[in-house]
Amino acid sequence: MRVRPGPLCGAVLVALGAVSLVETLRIRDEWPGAKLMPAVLAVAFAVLAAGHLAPSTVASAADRPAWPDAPRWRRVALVFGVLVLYVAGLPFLGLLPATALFVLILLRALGAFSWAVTIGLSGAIAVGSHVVFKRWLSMPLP
Amino acid sequence: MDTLGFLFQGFGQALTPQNLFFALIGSVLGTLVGVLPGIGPTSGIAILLPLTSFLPPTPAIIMLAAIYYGAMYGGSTTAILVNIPGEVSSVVTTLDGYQMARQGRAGPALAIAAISSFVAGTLGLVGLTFFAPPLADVALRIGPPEYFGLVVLAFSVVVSLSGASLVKGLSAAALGALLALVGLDPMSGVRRFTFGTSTLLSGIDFIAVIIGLFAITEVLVGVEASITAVSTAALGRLMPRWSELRRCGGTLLRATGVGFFLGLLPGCTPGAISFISYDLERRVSRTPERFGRGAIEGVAAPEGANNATTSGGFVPLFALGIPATPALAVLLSGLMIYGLQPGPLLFEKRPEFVWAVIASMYVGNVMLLVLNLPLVGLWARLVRVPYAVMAPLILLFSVLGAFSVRNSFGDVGMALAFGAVGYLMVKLGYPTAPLVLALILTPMLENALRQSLSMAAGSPLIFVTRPIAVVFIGAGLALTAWSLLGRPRRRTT
Repeated sequence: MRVRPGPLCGAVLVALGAVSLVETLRIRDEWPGAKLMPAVLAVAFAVLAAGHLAPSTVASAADRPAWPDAPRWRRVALVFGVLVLYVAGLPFLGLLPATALFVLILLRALGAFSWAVTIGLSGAIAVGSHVVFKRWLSMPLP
Repeated sequence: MDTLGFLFQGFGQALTPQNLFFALIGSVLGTLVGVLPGIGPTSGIAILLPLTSFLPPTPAIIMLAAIYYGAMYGGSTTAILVNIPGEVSSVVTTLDGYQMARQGRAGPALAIAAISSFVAGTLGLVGLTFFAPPLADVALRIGPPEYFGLVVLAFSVVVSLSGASLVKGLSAAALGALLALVGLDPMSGVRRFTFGTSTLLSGIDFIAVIIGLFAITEVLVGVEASITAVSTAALGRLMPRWSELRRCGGTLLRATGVGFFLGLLPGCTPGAISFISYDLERRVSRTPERFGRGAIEGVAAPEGANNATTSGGFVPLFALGIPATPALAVLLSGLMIYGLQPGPLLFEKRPEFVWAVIASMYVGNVMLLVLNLPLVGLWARLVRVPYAVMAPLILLFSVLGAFSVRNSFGDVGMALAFGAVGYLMVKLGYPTAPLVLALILTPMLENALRQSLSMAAGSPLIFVTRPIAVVFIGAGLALTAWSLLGRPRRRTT
């Protein structure tokens, strides 16, 4: 994937600068007061956004983004997706089953373990986390 | 009571079974964090910080501090055995350490790393014991303008943490500053950057941000790099020859001096200082050609320096409330969670706490020597744990750690979001450390700035009419200039 990060990130900084400027104008407080730092940030984001337009400042050879190839992207997306689903499912499934499922999927996806080892490890980690966090530390987990 | 009296009193606290236990746990976890590539002391402390909320402050901070200095011990293990530094501060250890391992001398390399870490770490603690209290006494006489100067000095770290592009480092810091302002302004009570929602009124929890940016991001980067297990070289005999130990005596004293005194300065990270110490050792050596080919001093110098640096970093943290490194910034936030405001008054108001933590560091160093010398084979075996097992465990601890701050799934969501942001930042070449530093330092900077301006009826001239403030601001500018001049040679830091 070809991305030109300089202008893209510069645009993000312009947006953050605009948000800071709007906050500076919106806040009803004596100057400098609560509006001082948002004002400073508005100026800082504007300067940094301008800095992103000069390619030499953000795109040196050693600093160029190294995007992963498709299989690696899929691995990252899979792990992050499973993590998001784990957090989303935790309140409904409860700590023990959700954790067992989460670890099982990641062990299968990242490792080359047999089913017996995968299930054993998943169960052990889930039970261990249940005992430590719910029982010993009394965390109010679902 | 004098310094030694307080220290002995501190030992009385540090040697209670509970505090000894948590110092040991911290030392083990710190070594583990150091040994395992892909998780650093900043993320290690960030993950465990919320989990320590179940403890009283003294054992909690004893454990977190032990994780920090323990990671410096453990970082050398993979650097020597497999040429993969466990920590940034161990990068330079690979130069001679790995060469020694290839020559069948991994044992002496690991042993000298542990001995150097112990000697320099302990000498650094002696410096901490006698430097911090007088500095705190001086600091008691400073007001908001001087404190503003100090925070400016601390902000100079951003330059050295910026990596190859200063603009990117500053952009990350600006984002961190913006995040720090979200919520109710503590001085005027007005809403800032809340976008009309009530969920952002209490601000963005920095622990969730730190867990996302460091722990979750590190796992995503590790998964992308397809890290598997790493095999290890044979250790050979463990102890170095007597002649080698004698040769390292001077090296250790120089490394301690460099590490401790540079460690007092914000902006001097352990990674940068280990390079400086290695370079110094090569320059003073009568046989500099041995360096890079398995010279034992090439292992002793950086390992000694990075441990002395950790002790040095606690001086400005305890005496002034200024963190010198991102990991210490997270530790500072831990102190604040417990209502302990680091700074000069901490020595006056909570001497039993400060001296117990300092005394526990002496004890922790002895524990780490035992853990890292006779048990080095055990740690070497640990690096063989498959990453497929480590990754789910780190993610699990991250989720539960973020949840435990306020028992809120909103914070977990925030950690996930910042995990994704951190991954994109890494991919786009933006350093994450300046963001965290700015997130923690910005409220201090803003308070000091606004209080100073109130004192002077809004005139910024107050910063140039107060001599100590001028010195701190000048030092911050000088350190920034020094970091800018040294940037091409220190990209890895």
